[in-house]
Order: sequence, then C-alpha cells, then structure tokens
Amino acid sequence: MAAVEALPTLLERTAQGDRAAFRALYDRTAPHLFGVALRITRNRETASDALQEAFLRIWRGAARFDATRGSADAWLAAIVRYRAIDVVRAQVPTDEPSEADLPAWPAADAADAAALQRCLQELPPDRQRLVLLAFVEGFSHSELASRLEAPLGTVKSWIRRSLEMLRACLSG
Amino acid sequence: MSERLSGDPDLDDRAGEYVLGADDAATRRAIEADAAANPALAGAIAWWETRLHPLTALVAPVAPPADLWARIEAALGAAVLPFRAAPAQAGRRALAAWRAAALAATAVAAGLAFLLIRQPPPATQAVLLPLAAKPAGFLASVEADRVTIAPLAGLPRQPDHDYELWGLPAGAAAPVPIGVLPRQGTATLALAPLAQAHGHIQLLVSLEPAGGSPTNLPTGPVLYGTEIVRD
Repeated sequence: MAAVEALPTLLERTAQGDRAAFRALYDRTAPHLFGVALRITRNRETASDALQEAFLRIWRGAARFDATRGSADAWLAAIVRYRAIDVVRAQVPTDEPSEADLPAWPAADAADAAALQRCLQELPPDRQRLVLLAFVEGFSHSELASRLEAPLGTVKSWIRRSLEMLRACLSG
Repeated sequence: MSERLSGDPDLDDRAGEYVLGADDAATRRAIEADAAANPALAGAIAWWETRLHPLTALVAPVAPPADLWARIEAALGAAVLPFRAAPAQAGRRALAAWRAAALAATAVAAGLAFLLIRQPPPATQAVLLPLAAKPAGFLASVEADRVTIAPLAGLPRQPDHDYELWGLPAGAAAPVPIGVLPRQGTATLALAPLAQAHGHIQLLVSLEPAGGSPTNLPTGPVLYGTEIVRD
C-alpha cells in the first residue's frame, strides 16, 4: 500500500513541478479549503473562483513555503482565506444572511488548537464572537460594526485590543 | 520565512489584523506590499496564521465543484507561465554533463558566471545567483515567453565572434538555439523554442563564429549560464 505523503512533502514536490503531488495536495485539502472559502463568500461560484485562484498561487508559491513553519495547513488555508476575503470585499453587499451557528469546538488535534481555545476563552464573550466573525465569516470592519451596532472606530479598537490579549496569551 | 513575532507591538498588531481579515482592500494591499519587503512583518503574519488556523476547524468541509480541478489544471497548462530562478548547484552539475558532449575543444572557463534573473510581475524579485570566479557576463530578465538579455560592462569583446543564447530543458539531449546576441545593446528574444518545456531549463551562452553557430549545436565554448524553472 502506498504511504500517505505528509502535506509538507507534497508541497515540496509541488515546488519541484510535480503535478501528481499537486493533485494529491488538492484532493486532500480541497473540501476543507472550499468550505473555508464558501463560508466567507457565501456564494458557490465566487468561492470556486477564489479556490481556483488560490491553488494557482499555491502552485506558483510552493517553493516559498518554509518547511520550518509550524503548519502547512495554515499556509494553505491562509492563501485561500485571503483570496476569499478579496473576492467578498469586491462584491456588492447583498441582504445580510444570518450567520450559521458555529459548531462546538472540535476535539483539538494539536497544541495550537488547545492554546487558541484557552486564550480565546480568556476574552469576554462578545470579543470572542468578534474574533470568530472576522476570521471565520470574513466580515469587514463595517459589517462587524453594523452587526454589533457599534461605531466603526470602536470595533477597530476592540479588535486591536483582542489581538493584543491573544498575542500575549499565545506567546506566553 | 519562519514564523515569529517581531517584538514590535504595532507591527505584530498589524500582522494580526491582516490575518484576521476585517481590514479593507486598500489596507490589505498596503500590508502585503510591506510584508514583501519586510521579513519581520512577513514572519509575524506567518505566526498569526499558524496560531489562528485552528479556527478553520469550525467550518465544515464542502466538496468543491467536480470540474474545479480541471479548471486549475487548464490554467497550469497555459502556454504563458511565470519562471523562477533555480538553485545554482543543479545547473552546474547538468551543465558539466552537457559540456562533456559539446564539440568545443576550447576548455570552458572554470566555473560559470551566472545571470541576474528578474521574475516577471507581480512577484518581481531579483535573485542574485552565486558568482563564480568569472564576473557575470549578462543580465537576463526572463518573462513568460521572452528573455531580454543585456551584456554587462566588462564582457569581453571577441572580434570575429558572436555570443549565442541556447536553452537546454532538463533531460534534453541537446540545447536548442534561441538566438544570436547583438554585439551591443539589449536584445529581446522569443522563447518560442522552449514553449513546450517545463521544469528546470538552462539558459546558456556560448561563443560562436561571427553570425552564430553554423549548426544547430554550439560549436564554441559555453561561457555563461544559469538555470530557471518553468512552472
């Protein structure tokens, strides 16, 4: 039975132009990444466009991935998220959909997840929600301000303060 | 780059906000531009990406459209693709193998001078490949389907000789001619002979009789070379 290649290995081979490795990378990660994009764009077509563009960037940028980084998943997901955010920022805002309930935190499979959960829970609940809405849903500052019925400047400073607390907690 | 907070709170906060994603497009473009030039910012962004990544587990996987891979693959296969510079060591080894088969009786200069390669936009970056004992002879800027090549000051003028540019794809038995370089000034040569080539490709400059090689192979010594990678 063929061994299942680790993601960093597939990335390294992709960087060398190995299309089979790139295909394997896609097969392994696309459902998760499409979910991430779709959650942000809320539109299958634009999510597809975002994912397609993201994978082209992954192809071109695979050589730049530093294997000393903690997580290949994080690098891939970030590329996808940023594309989806760019796409959704350019979209004309439609009627605000209600945000889907976030499922319960899944079992942590890494120290990173446990640390993030612990540090997030140190934030006041409304700041936790702010962080989640921004990261998971991809809401802009204006959309967050509108949802939370708070001034734009206030939302920005809440975010900055929350990030400072997370940074202190996560690097402690 | 590796992931690490910079220690500068403002920079680290900017990185966190970028990864969080709530900022507007103009701010994001500005941060991306800064990160391209500032490894500390890039490292802080990477740190946040890894720390916040577990939040993506809150999103359920969704099967992408069945034709999406085909669309990605089609985009990969497009004729016009970006190049990037390759590590120098591989070029040296393969070049030595080719030199052994070359007709040139003249000893090739020890070591090779490498070309300064500039990547095409948007990821324009100058990659300075290691210089060998000889000074670099040419400055080459490779774009998707063409190469612009200019002699550097100090390139020896060779009366009754012309420099000629060749492309040698990985695994190819022999280099293909790309074009004779003008005695002076910059030339832009189409890379049509390499249109189907992928992977590691060597660009080589040989010294030929005036007018270029009379055959389809170099007849003179290969004096300059570099290796690029076509995605």
